[in-house]
Amino acid sequence: MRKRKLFWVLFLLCIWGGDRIAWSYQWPIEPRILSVFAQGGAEGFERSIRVSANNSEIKPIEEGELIFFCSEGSPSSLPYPLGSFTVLQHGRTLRSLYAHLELSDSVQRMEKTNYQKGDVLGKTGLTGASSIVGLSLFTYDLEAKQFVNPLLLLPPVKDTSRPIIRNAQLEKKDRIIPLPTAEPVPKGMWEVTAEVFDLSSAVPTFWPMGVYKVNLYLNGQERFMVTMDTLKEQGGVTRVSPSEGLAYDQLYSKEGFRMKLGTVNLNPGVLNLEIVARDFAGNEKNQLYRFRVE
Amino acid sequence: MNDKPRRYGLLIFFIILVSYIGLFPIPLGKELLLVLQWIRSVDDPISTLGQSSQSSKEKITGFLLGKTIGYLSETGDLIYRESVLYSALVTDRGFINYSAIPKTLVVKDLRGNFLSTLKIEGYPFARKNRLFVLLADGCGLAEVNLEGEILWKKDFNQLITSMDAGATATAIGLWDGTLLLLGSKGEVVFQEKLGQDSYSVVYLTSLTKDDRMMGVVYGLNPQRGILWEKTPVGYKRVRSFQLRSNFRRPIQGLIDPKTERFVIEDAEGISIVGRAKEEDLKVFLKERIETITSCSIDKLLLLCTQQDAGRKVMGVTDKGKRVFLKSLAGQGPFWFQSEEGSFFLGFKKRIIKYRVMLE
Repeated sequence: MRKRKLFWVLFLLCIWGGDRIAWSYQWPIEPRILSVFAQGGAEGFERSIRVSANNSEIKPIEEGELIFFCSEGSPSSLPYPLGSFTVLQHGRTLRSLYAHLELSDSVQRMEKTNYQKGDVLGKTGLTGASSIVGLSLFTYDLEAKQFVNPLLLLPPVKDTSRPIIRNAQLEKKDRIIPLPTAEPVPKGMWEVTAEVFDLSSAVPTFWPMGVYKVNLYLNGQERFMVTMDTLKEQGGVTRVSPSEGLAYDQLYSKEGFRMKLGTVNLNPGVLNLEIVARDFAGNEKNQLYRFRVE
Repeated sequence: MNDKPRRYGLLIFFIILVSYIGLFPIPLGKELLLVLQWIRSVDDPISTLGQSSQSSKEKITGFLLGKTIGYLSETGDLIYRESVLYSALVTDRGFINYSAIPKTLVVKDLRGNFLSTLKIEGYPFARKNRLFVLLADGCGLAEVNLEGEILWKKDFNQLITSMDAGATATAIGLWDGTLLLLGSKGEVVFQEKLGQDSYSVVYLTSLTKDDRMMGVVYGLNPQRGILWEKTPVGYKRVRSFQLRSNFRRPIQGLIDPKTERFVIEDAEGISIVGRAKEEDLKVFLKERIETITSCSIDKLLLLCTQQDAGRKVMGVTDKGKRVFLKSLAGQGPFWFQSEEGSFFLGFKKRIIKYRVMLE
C-alpha cells in the first residue's frame, strides 16, 4: 500500500518537474495569436508576436529584472506607438518586452524590480498603436544583437489549421503569369511570388498572419527557403536569419501577404514547381504547379 | 541708579547701528519676479482680431492642453482650436493631429488648413524645432519636415530608449547601452557602447542646440553619466560621473545652454553636473519632476513637478537656489512652455502667460 502511494507521488512529481524542465518559459497570457514574428508589418518586419486577450493579467515569460518601462503620455518619454510597456532582463542575454499594456502599480511606482513568473506586470490594454486589446511580446538576444521569434522559446500552441498558399505567379519586369497555367511559359529567369499566410483562430473573422517557414522546389530541388527565427541588423538593414539574410523588400511585396520566393531559371520542358509553407505548430501546406516551358 | 550708564550705552549702540545701516546699506540684489501677462480659457471664442494679426510678425504660440490643441496670439487671443484625435505635435509653423494607428500623418498650418501629408507609420514629435517620427515598434526613427518630406529614415533593430537633437546632429540612446550620434542625413558620425553589463540601457540623451555638448545617463546599480564636448577631431569625454538614482524609465534632463552644465532628474531632486566636480550642485526636491527647461533670464532653470496634491512650477538659479513657486492644486491636463523671458502654464481649461523679470 505504502509502495503504491510512493509510486503515485513520484509519478506526479515527474510530471510536474518534467513540465517545468521542458518549458522554462511561460506564456504571459493565454496564447490567442493575431500576428507572428517577421511577418510583413507597417514599416518592415514585425519584431513581435501579437496576442489577443481581454482584461488579462500579464505575467513575465520567466523571472527577470525590470530594466525599462514607459507609461503612455509620460512627458519624459518619447511618443512610443508601443503605448505603455515594460522590459525585463532574464539572465545575461535575454530580454523580453511587453507592449500595449495597462501598467501595474508595482511597475509604475517601482515597488519592486525583480519579477517572478507569478507576478503581474500589468493588464492587456489598448495603449499606443493597437486596435485589439492584447499584448505585443518581443524577445531579444542581447549577445547576438537580434530579435528572436518568441515562439522558439514559449510552449507550443495548439493549432490544427494549415497555412494557405494562393495566387502564385511568375513575374518578370513586363509580364506576370498566374499559376496554374495551361499556356506554355517562355524560358528564362522568372521571379516566383505567392500569397502565403496562416489564419488566426483568435478572432472569428478572416485574420491572416505570417507563417514560420516557406520552401520553393523546382523539379524536387530546393531553390528557396526562409525560416522566421531571428531578425538581425546586417549592414544597416534588418534581415531575417538564419536563412540567407533576406531584407524586408527582398521577401515581401507591398501587396498584403505576397511573398517573393526567389528567382528561378526555367528551361524548356515540363516542370514541377512546388511551394511548401509551414506554420509554427508544424501544420504544412504543399502546392504543386505543373506547366510547360518553351 | 546703577542701570543708567548701561541704558545710555545700549541707546548709543543702537544709534550707531542704525546710522551704519543707513550710511552703508547691504545691497539686496535684484529679485526675480513673475508678472502675470494674461489668462485665457481654451473654450474662449476664436478671435477675429487674432486672425487679422496673424499676418503681421506677431509671435504665435501653439499649445496642447489635454484634448485640445490650438494657437494663441502674443496678446492671448485664441487663433485656432481643434480637438485632439489621439495625440498631436504642435510647432510654431503647423501641427499634426494624429489617430492612435496613423497610416498617414496630415500636416496643417496654424489655422487648420492642409499643408502636406507624410506617408509614414509612427508617432511624430519635435526636438529643438526639428521634427521626427518614431516608427511603429520603437526601433526606427525618421526626420521629417512640415512640407511632407522624409529627410532620412533609419532602422536600428533595437529599441530607442532616448534621443535628442541639436542643430544638425541627432543623439540616440539604445536599449543595449549604445549611444549613436547621427549626422544631418542620418549617417552615424559617432558611436560608443556605454557599460559592458546587461543592464546598460541609455535612459537620457541630451544635446545642445549647437551640437557642441552631449550628455547621457545609462546603466543601473549605479546609474552613470557622461558628458562629451565636440572638438575638431570628434567628441571628447569631459566628465564621467555617478548618480544616486536608479530609474528604470526615461529620465528628464538637459544640458543648460547658458552654463553648459548637465541638469538631470535625480532620486532626490535634480543633480547639476559641470565639467569639473567643483561645479556640481544638488537641489533636493520631494516631488517628481515632470519638465526641466532653461530660461533666458539670469541662467534660470524652470522645473515643473508633480505629486498627488497637484503640480508646482519653480525656478532654480545656477547656484541651486529656488527663487519662486507656483502651485496648481489638483490633477488635470497640464501644458508648460518656456520661451524668451516668459512661460506659459496651461492647467485644466486655462492658459496663463507669465513674464519672468529681474527687478
